[in-house]
Amino acid sequence: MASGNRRRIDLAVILILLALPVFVLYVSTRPGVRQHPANRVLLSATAPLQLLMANVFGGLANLWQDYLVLSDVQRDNRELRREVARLGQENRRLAALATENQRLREMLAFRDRHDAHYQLLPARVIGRSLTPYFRVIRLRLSVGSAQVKAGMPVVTREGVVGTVERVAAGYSDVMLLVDARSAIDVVSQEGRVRGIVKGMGETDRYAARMDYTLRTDELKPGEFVVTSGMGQRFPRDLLVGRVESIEKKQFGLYQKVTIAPAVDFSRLEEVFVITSPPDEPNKVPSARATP
Amino acid sequence: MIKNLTATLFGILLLTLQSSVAFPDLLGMGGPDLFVCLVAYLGLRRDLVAGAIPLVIVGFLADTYAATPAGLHLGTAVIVFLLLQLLQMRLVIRGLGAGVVIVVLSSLAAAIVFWLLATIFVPSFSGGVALLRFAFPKALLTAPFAIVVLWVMSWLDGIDPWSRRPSRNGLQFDLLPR
Repeated sequence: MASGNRRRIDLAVILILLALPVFVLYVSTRPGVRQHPANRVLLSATAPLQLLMANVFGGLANLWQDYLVLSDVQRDNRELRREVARLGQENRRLAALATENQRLREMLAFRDRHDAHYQLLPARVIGRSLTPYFRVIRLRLSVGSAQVKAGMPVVTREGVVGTVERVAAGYSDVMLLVDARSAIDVVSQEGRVRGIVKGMGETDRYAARMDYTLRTDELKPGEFVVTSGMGQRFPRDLLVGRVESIEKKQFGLYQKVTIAPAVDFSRLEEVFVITSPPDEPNKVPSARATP
Repeated sequence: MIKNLTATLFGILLLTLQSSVAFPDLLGMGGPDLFVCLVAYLGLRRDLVAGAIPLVIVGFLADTYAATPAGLHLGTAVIVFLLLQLLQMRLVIRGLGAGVVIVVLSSLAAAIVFWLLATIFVPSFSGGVALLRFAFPKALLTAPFAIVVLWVMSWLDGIDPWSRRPSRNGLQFDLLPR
């Protein structure tokens, strides 16, 4: 009985369900029916919901767009940082090239200035002594080692560097003037006080002293000291350094003079080897090895 | 009663979403048919009377949202619903995957029914070819959304505090909360 009732109810529901849309469709598709008040009510009831949802999802979409934009900004930022780093590196490289260019120009000018008096062979510093007890640098000679011999002077536009110690296969070791074994005959530029500049062999700085200057000789701190040309090793008047300090005692034959080398040995990159033998001191023109 | 209310409200939410959210219009076929997911759920999980109430309300609103002649979506939904009622009396459908397959088939059926009703009742209707051409892609597009809709509807039914009726054998979503 209950099953029969249920069946009848189901049948009625099915009929209603089928009839309802057909009826509504029939009515609603007649001309002018879409302006029926019921339609307007439904529209006004549902439209705000749609508006609300559109706003919510529009906001979410905007949020997402903003996020994407921010992601783009982050990516752009990363790329720009990389670009800045790359350009910085490029800038430093160009600055180094400009410095090198300037240095080489000065070296060239130095060589041109002195080429008439002695032959200069350019060389690049490629290494230094591993121990501070020996002040030696290693050079890569530009045109082989044939012209270069031990004992030849090595200079830069700043002044005297030292002397060639040994040569082999396009390379050469140079004993700096601050090495304890080095000795160069010099004269003070103004007072023409003679002496021998010897390296002090100090491990913590590049220093030299001027030996054999008589206690009665007049030397002033800051005075330039240049090669004397004696001994046939260095041409005369190449700048060696300047007087740093003078210590005169009440007794003894000589005074104690400390020399600050003209060359900054810690920054040496290019040097010249003077390959021609120096002229007689009295024949060499007065050409100072200063820039 | 509560189940009908929640189903109706959820149906309205689906309609609002479907009409408001700018789904990417793939090949001019519009977004997924969320409404058909609800119809499929009602057809499979509800008995005739319990399913009919939210179906009629949401069906009416569907036409309002879609700005189509009143009764077009309703008629489509009713016929698909009745077909599913017939189906669920003869088949035991288990699992979320099966539910999704049913939604895809329902979407195809809905396209055909919609085309028939529109052709019969709306003389100016001219989108039949496009409707049928995109019926299958649209059904496939709807499938992923069916997972969510079926899951949510089942979850809403599960939280009905007044329901004392044991669940029927039929569509059982294994992934759903008990």
